[in-house]
Amino acid sequence: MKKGTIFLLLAVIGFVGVAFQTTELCNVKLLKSELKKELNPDYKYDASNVTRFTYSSKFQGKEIEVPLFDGQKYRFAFNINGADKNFQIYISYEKAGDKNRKNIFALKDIRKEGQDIYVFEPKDSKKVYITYIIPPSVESTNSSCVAFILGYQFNSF
Amino acid sequence: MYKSTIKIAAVLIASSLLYACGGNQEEENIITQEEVVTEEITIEETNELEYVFPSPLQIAELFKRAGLTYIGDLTNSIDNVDNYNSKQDQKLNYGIYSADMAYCIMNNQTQESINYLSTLKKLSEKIWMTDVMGAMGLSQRLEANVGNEDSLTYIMADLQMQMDDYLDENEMGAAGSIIFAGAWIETMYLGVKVNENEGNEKLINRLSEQAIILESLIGSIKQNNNDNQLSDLLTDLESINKHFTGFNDSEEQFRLSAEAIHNLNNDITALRTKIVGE
Repeated sequence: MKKGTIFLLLAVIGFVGVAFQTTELCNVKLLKSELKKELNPDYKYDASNVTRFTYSSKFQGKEIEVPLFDGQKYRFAFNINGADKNFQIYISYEKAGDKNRKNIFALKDIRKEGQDIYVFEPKDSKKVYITYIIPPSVESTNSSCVAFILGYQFNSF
Repeated sequence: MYKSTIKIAAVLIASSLLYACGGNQEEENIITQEEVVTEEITIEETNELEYVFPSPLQIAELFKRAGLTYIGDLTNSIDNVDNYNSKQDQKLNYGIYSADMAYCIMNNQTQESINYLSTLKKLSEKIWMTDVMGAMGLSQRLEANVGNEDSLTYIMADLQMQMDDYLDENEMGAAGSIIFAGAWIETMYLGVKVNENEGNEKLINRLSEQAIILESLIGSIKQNNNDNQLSDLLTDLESINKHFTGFNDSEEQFRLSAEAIHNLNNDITALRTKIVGE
């Protein structure tokens, strides 16, 4: 009886564990360390960000506001390792939803199989918005993340 | 949670995303900008905007290039570090000391920089019960690079990177916003005080440009103010923001008037005094 209860308890715990398990595929340190190399040798680290998300049955959007200083030259680098193959990135000077919004970068068109890191340099430095589009997934409990790093060109005095 | 509709651009015609025509593989992967014509698809989502802020070092560099000189007694005394007992005061003053360290590094004040680094370590242990940058051997690196401003700035950038990594790994973005608020207030304080002494047009331009940062900072603090613990800070930052009225109204470069600079100086000084507790 006692043995049976223990087995039953273990089975319940195991079932609940599997049912509510969220598979987190986010190694912040690794994603970022790969990105840092993209700044060398001309760009100095300025900022970075990790966006976490859980797939659902719908498209989801996430947006990051990045203020840039006039006259500075910037480099953006993204690491999308672990994200769905249909994950999209757009960059614009206008917020998502703005009727005048035009993208200055779209990952969708340039994505290559096996390539996780994408680097972009904007022409003008002012406030930009990075928009991530997270595609729907049937495995809706899966979590993941993408990393972004910003570098600026350092000018000696 | 609110439900909003974000219209996201999907590419209809990419006029041309140019690949740089560099001679090596690395350069070929860097995409430079061309305008992308878009169509819109509709995404339903329930997420808030995230904010990314520049490093205090970059702001200090910009100010220095605009003529920010070194005035030794402007920075916050390291003796004050034991006076900060609440987590919020500790985070704000971590930002204040980071900005002071950046200011010292920019001006080749290596011993001062090392002193500020020790102070940051002390505060880091108070805030997080761990020395975030402990393993980096920063003091030794600073000492080994005395007088080499270029190397010192890279060391400071490493410090920032380490801090950002720690906050990202532990999902502590709110703490990052408070720390940045402290750093921004201190850098603005240094800027207005040096300008008060020397009257510098380029520096006024750079101070004016900070409106773009303040807008985002207010947005971020607002977002992290669920328990109203940041309401005072938010009110103070909104009050500072009034001096930048007109920033979004003109296509031309915004510039603070002499009166606005004077009032900004008073308000930033009062806010900074409130935070450092002098």
